[in-house]
Amino acid sequence: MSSMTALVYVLEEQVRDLLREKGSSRLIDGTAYGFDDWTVFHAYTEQPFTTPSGYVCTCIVVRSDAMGLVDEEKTLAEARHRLDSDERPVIVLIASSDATGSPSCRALVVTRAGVTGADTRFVPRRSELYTRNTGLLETSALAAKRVLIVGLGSGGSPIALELARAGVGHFTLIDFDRLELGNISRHVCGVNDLGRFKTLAVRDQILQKNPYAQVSTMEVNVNQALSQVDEAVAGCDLLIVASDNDQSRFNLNQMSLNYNKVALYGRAITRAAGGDVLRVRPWKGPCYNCIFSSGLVDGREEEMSQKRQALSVLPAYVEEDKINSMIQVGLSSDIAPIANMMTKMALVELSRGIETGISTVDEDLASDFYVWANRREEAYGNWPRMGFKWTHPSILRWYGARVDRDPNCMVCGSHITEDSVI
Amino acid sequence: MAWSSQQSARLRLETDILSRYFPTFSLRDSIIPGHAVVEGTMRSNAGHEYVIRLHVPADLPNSVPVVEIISPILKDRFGHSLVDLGTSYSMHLLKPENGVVRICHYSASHWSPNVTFTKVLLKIRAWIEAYEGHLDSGFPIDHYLPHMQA
Amino acid sequence: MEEKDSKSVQDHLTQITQGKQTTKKLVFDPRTQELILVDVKAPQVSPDAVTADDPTRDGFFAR
Repeated sequence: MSSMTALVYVLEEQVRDLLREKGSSRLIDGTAYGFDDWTVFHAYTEQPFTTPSGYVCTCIVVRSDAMGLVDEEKTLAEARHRLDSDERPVIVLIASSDATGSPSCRALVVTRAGVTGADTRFVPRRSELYTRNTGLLETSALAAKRVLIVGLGSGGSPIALELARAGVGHFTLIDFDRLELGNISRHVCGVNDLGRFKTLAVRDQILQKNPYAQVSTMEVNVNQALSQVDEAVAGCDLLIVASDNDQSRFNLNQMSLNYNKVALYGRAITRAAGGDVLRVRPWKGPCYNCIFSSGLVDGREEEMSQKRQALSVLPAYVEEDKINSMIQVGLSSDIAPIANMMTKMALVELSRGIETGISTVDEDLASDFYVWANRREEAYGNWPRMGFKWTHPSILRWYGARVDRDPNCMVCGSHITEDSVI
Repeated sequence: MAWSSQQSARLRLETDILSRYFPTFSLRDSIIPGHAVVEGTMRSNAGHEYVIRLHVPADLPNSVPVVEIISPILKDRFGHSLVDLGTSYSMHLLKPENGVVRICHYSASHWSPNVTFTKVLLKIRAWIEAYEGHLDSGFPIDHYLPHMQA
Repeated sequence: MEEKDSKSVQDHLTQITQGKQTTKKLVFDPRTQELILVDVKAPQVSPDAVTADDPTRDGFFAR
């Protein structure tokens, strides 16, 4: 163990809960995780609600009595008794109330070499977590907002995290995929989460950013759980669609129209040579089907990032070699601009009616459909080099396209008649 | 779960259009999503009749409907049952279920809610003409009908 | 001039499949339920007739 004073983080909420208990003081078993040669600890009076990291070590917690006293000798004796042969320290938390009634907590680190005091810091309550985040966006304003994210892959997972960072308080995550080795390089989750449902792994990541976020998850295929998903759409403020197939997008498009919920759709094209983002403001602008039928996405084939995705859209007779050759993924850095654009658009939508520093962005985002190019290939193969001109299309810039509602759209068209559809 | 109001309206629209283009086709078992079918008879230019069944998807109109040829039992020029071919790229066939041939008409990546049952059946009508061409010439059906790009 | 014998229709489909130029188009006449070959510039065979060999997303097997 290093000679520096150890640092122990404790959830303020847990200490408050402990102090609310009545009756005589008693020793309880907590849990702690240590990092960096046992110099930093995260200690909990009860099991944390997020998936912890670090190396587990013993933690005992004691609450001071009505007089504010603790039998330290007895507590330390118990801590020493808990020391085992593998040199792991035991963390002792002593919770009490100060003169003003506010909770306080002392931490001791017990090793075979002796007992040392540690600096204790509270992870604050919800109301204080984002008090410093008062610049562009008053993030507390978004604490009540409800976001539904469908698809927690390389596109949806970073959006979820960014929205958590921005203070969005309620998430519903839908995906039936599990995290596989092939996903890791492009996903916010790592090898520690292999085999887990992406929803649950991303939930834990969200809670790392905002421990007080309310996160519910649905491990379902949208196309096979329509009524469940329908309820989730009805209850959200914003729908973010980062799924990987058109069928789910068509189903979600209908739901977003039914419930008049703004929806954002994003996707990458083959090898993430670029991508596009669509905002659907129901009945005010084009819907997903209007765009799909407009020809704007023709020749911009969706990226196939895994076999399950390819099998769901290809006829059964397509050969294995062909399927494997179609699975061509881009880099995480190619997906990032698309996820970032969707995050910005999400924040604009969620901040509507709230005076924020990003309000002007809404004025700029006049288009409902945006195109991005990462490289001059695939659909962008004929684009000129970026060079120094601003007057021609170039990679690494967003382009908004003017797209109106299709009056003959079979989903949102205003005058659907027999003659308009055959 | 019952049909939504949009789906009910869509079903009415589909049957209206069908009555104009394929009047022998009608909607059956339409109460329960996932069980409804559209069934009717097509006649080739040579006068041969085929009974076609289109399964209405539970998420109408957002996914590709399965289309089967119920009768007659189809054989290729060489006398083999088309069902026994299983999935066949060259014959535009998907994996058969319940001993019935399924036609590959739209790939999922090219489907959109703008495609009506009548458009689907128009493709089936062309498939039938190509099938009869195969019976005459021995050429596979994709000699007459190209493939959608994957 | 209209043609609707099976052989002509099938030959036309083959030409389309092979990407050859043709002066004919295939239409479906709902009154007779036949596929009919007509000149590209010919007037409609019936008010409800629809093109059946449009090599676009919706009209045919190919794009």
